[in-house]
Amino acid sequence: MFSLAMWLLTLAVEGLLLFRAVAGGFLRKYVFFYAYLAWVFSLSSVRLIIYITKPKYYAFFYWYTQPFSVLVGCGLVWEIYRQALGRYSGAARMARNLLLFLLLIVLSRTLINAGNGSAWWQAETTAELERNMRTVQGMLLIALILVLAHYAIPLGRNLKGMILGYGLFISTSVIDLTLRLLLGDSFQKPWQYLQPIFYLATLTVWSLSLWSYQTVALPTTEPRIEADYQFLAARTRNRLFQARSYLARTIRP
Amino acid sequence: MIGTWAFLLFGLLLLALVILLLQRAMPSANDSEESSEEAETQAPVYAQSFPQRLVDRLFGSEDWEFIAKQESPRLKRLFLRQRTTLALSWLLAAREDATKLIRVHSAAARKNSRLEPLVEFRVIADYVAFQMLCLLIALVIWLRGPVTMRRLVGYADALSERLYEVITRVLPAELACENSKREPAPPGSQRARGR
Repeated sequence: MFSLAMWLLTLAVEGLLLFRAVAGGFLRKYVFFYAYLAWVFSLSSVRLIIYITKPKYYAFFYWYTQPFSVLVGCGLVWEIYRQALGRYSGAARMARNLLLFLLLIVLSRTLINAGNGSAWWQAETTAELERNMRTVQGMLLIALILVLAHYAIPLGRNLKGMILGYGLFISTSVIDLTLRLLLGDSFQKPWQYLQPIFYLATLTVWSLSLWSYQTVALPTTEPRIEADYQFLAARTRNRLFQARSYLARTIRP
Repeated sequence: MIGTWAFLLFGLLLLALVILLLQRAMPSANDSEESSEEAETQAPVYAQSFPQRLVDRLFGSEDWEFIAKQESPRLKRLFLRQRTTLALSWLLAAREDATKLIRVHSAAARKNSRLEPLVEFRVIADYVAFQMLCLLIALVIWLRGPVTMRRLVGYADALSERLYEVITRVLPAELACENSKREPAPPGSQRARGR
């Protein structure tokens, strides 16, 4: 009963979020985010119908469609990247390289596993596969957050909410799925409660932050520092070196 | 089993990071901040608010030798406590200066389409190394006090000099010859210290 009520509630919130975006005319502003939300809304509705009418097929349908949801979720990471770094070509370049590096590591590991004859995602169950995929998404999100923080990229309420909500969802999913795999069937009952609660928390964050469209306040003046990047980097490194030498000189007898 | 705990740890780390970074580490840029940062680029990095004479005295042993002669444990304790606080403030100022510098750098680099990721990583690595050095010094100051710290560094310098002498004596002839061609400055020497 609780699960069904939570299910209906999350569907209602998803629908409300989509309705607000259409009514407010900002659906196109965050097209990948709302595409992901629309996908989740549609899939959840189909799952609910199957759960009510053909319950014995539900588990099969759930685990076979879940990896697609995770893949569609990658669009959300792309949305965050696109929205936050669109005006900052330098930071975007840094983020691109970092994300590419992470993806190359994941790909190399996958290929090595495949070469060693083990399952190429090292996943024996769909739950394990989902956890591994969510972990990769989490790594990408962490890298993106670090770039945003390092370059002090101004984020509006919408984008902050998007990151907070999705970060919350991925982290709790990884914890949840790991506990389920670790504890087995004994965790099935709490898992059934925890998963929708965490997802509802995510939807609440999204509802609060994406209730209306808010433009990002941009700095009217940008620092008038050298356009030559090489010079800028050399000067920063030189000053850090000076600071280090100063420390070393001071503490030496 | 280790892998499972790693996943759990990762999940918790992401959760903490998302909450922390969104709450604290993302100041929204505004005009006054940008312009003040720009002014800060012109300033030296190191904590200049502490005059060099004061810093030298802070880490020097003259005052401590005077206090030690008084033979008052309470006075010694008070002196050490105050010196430690001062030294830690000096170090904090140096760290804050470096943070300001890196903020100015990133504010200028974030819109630069010619940014080179490898160079940028080096800048970040330099900054992290500086912060680590500060933390290490702070730890030693906190544990042993600024006066003892200079003595410890002096001892480490003398030790590395002795080690350098031993190594040059023990090294095979070819390596020693190659070494002499490169003419490295022994650790602790004036040149190695960059004075």
